[in-house]
Amino acid sequence: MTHVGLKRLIAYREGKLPPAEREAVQEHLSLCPQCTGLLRELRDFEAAAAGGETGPEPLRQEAWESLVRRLPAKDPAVRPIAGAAPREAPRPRDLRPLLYSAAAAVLLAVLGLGVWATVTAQQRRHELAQLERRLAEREGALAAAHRSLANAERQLAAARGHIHDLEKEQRASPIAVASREIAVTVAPWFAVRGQENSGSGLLQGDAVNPVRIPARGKGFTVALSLADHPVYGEYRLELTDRNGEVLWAGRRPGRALLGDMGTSISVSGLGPGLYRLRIEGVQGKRSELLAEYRLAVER
Amino acid sequence: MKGPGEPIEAIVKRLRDGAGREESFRLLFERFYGPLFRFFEHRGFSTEECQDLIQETFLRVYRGIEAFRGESRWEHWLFRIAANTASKAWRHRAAAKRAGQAVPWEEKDEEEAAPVVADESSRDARAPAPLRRLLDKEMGELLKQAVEGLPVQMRRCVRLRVFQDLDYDEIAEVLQIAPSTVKVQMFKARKRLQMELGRSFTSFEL
Repeated sequence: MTHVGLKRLIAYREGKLPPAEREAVQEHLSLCPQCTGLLRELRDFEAAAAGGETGPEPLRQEAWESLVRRLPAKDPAVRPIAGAAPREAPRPRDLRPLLYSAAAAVLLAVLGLGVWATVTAQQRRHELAQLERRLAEREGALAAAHRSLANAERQLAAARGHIHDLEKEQRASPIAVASREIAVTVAPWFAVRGQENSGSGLLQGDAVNPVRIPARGKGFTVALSLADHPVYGEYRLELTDRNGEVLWAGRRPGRALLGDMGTSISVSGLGPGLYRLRIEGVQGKRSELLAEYRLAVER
Repeated sequence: MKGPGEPIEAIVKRLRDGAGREESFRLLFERFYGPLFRFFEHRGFSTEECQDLIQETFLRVYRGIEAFRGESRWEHWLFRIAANTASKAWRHRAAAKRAGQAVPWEEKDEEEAAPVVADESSRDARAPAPLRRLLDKEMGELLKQAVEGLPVQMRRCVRLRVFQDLDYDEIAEVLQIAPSTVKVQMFKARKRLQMELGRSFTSFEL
């Protein structure tokens, strides 16, 4: 079924159709609710226009303003008109709304600036407080580090002093030991066997720790182990006390000190205390200090 | 006489001539905003959509006012533009639905929101109450056959009353005849149908 069509329906409504076409439209309308509905819409539209139906007021004004914004820009004739009712006649332009708007805009700008400044100042204060807090934390950590460093330095100084004291005590302690016998410290190049020692081995020591020889001994035996060192024609031995005074000196021919047999030296008559044994190699007019060792006589 | 009470034809003429175009256009908008709002609202559009469609309608008026030659009434010319704008909006919505896009208009009940021009299959579902009552009594076909045998104008009146649920005044308006004529036609039709359908017609009122 072909519908009447709006143009034809309007012509029917306006009574402009010829009789035959008018009959056809009427027949169709009696069968077609859609076309009848369209005709009734047209009738309602006419009635609303004739009745001066205005529609919702705020929406109408809003629609007009929006419509004016959508009009082609090339035609400057139509611009938004304040108020719902159209003007009856041109009137001098009232500038008061413009002034009020400008004043309101300035006021809003000032208020906005004030709010912005307040908010910004609060943010800055907050950031400054955070920075100060961090600085205080760093300063606290730095002070703690300083304290820790000073403490460590004090501990280091104390440790150094203690080491010094220990070294001093270590150097002094063998001398303070009393004994009737003589002990001999032994250098890597040679060894000294205690004369009265019961043992079979050589007693060896180093620069710090003296070798204690049993108190029963009356003397000691010096034996050199020169290894790759040149052999001298003669060796001079010298025993001094702690003040450097020579208590005994003797010479031994070359090779006499070499090997385990060595040479026997009597130490009877020496009191307890620290002594030194110097061994020099002599070759003609040339001599060389081979070793100088501390000896401790114990009680 | 210019202003709100001015005849439409004079306002339209001034708009077409370009003299006082701003004022003329504003006057037309003021006069027809309400009728257009009702029209679009009746078509099932939301308030926001009505606003947009009214603006679109007036934009078309503004652009095409030179095409209005006064062959039909101004409000009918405007109504055509509004109806086309509404149909275009419905097609846009239908296309968006087919494409699976979000439809910007409010979703309404299909029956309520359907455009006036609908397909034939929906006729029975939207049939007026008198017809539904007849269908319930399995009298529809019998009545239709009987109605088709009536004289032309009588037949049209009965169709509009039974199948479209119009009252007498509406029937008169559609058929452009006097309401009294409709009343007479319906009276005669009732007599003829009662004679033809007998007792089956007793529960039906025209």
